[in-house]
Amino acid sequence: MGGLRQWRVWHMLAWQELKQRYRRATLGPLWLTLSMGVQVVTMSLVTAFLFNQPLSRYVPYVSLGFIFWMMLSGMVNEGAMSFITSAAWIHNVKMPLVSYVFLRIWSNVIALAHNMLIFVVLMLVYSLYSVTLAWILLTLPLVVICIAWLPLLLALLSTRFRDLPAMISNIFSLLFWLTPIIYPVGQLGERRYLAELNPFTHFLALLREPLMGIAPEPTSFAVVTGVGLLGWIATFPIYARFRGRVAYWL
Amino acid sequence: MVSIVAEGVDIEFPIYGQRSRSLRNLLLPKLRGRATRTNLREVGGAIAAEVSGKIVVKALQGLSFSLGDGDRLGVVGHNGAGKTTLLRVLAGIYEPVRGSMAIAGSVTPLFSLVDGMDPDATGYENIWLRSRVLGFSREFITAHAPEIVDFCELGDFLDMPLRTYSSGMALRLGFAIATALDPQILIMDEMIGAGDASFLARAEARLGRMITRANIMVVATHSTAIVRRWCNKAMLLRHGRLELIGDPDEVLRRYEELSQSAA
Repeated sequence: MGGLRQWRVWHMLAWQELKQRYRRATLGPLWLTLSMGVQVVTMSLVTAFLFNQPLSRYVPYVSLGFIFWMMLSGMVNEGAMSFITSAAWIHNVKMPLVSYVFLRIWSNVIALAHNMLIFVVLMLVYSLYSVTLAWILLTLPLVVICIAWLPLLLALLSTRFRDLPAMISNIFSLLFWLTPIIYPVGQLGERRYLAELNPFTHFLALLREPLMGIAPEPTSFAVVTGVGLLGWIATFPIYARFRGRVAYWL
Repeated sequence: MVSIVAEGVDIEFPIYGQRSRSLRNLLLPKLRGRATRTNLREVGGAIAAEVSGKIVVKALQGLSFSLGDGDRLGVVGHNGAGKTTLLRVLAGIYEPVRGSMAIAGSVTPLFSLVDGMDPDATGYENIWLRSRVLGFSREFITAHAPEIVDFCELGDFLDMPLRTYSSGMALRLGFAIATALDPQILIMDEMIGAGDASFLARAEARLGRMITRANIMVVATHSTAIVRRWCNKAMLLRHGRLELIGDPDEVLRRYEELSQSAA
């Protein structure tokens, strides 16, 4: 994969994007973190009162769920647009197409790193110290690798069919409610299979549970790895077949 | 051995969402029993409807040629004759729809002097950004950065954000970076150049050195003077077809004939 070998280029571009945000505003991208923080705290407090849940578990649950969801949906939504927004580059610079997708994924990971400040605050307030925290070092890279095929595939398709990006963002606002982000799976009662059939539930669980002091379940590992494998197996031949057409479609 | 061999290269751009409009444009002249518009205009490639009803612009049709070590090719032709498209095929951006383009050697496309530069980054940072985008290695940039800094003569401005530069200064920087390259196959859309009178002379000498280092150079241009000055071969494109390739004088003569008959 030429795109992986060129990691310095997309790493540098993402880093430059970040530096640019810091350059003229003292808080830089932390403004985004701050507004995200205000949003998740308000959202989790309101829903905790609505559902009559104990704050100490519910606030971190919803907050982390929302932060990780923003990363996943950001990767897919921005990733799907990556060829379209980089049209000028694609026409003038010879760089493997996957680099543009990796750039969007990487910049969402960097944004997540900023948002982890919110987690640090939550950890101090609700004393969420636990050894399961270490799992995140394994699960975060795993989740990123296992979802990365989706933005790549969607970027290819979106370049040809321009209706797709709008459709994807609609599907993701739907998925926001279908995935247990602001409610625990248990609350669904008999209909919990709805959540369990949704792969995003497992992607989210792998990220959220370690930080909540729970070791991630083997089922979630199996689903995420399986989705990742199948996704990449399906995406590789499609990418190989159509990458040469992207420049024409733009 | 560095070489380029093109055999029957076809490039067609599918036009989506233009079906009805373009179809009407195509059919109307025929219905009126006149020549199609394609025959009347001197610019652009051929517009055609495929059997499926898909509208395509045939940007290049059946292009065959070969270039080897030491070739300096100047590509001439009217607007829309396919010059830029050809360069992009050489750069590997467009894959031929039919035919083949076999390239031995690494290709360095130099379509713009400032792609990848960031207006909010300083001149120094931009040397890194731009060089990376052009595909320089870290070692190469470290080794050549002082020389780039010397050549562009921007001094303290290199510590300032690029957006404080005049467009001429930004081009100077872009030019200094681009010409530090050691390309095997160099591809340019219009000859690059930058700067005021005093800079221009030095710039030309530096450009000349880079072109000499390259094994093959391909430049698309509207200037016959540039072809005469830099090239030992020329190619004339017309409506996406290769009209003539060979000795620059002969090709330019034909090009000027065509221009005059069109005017």
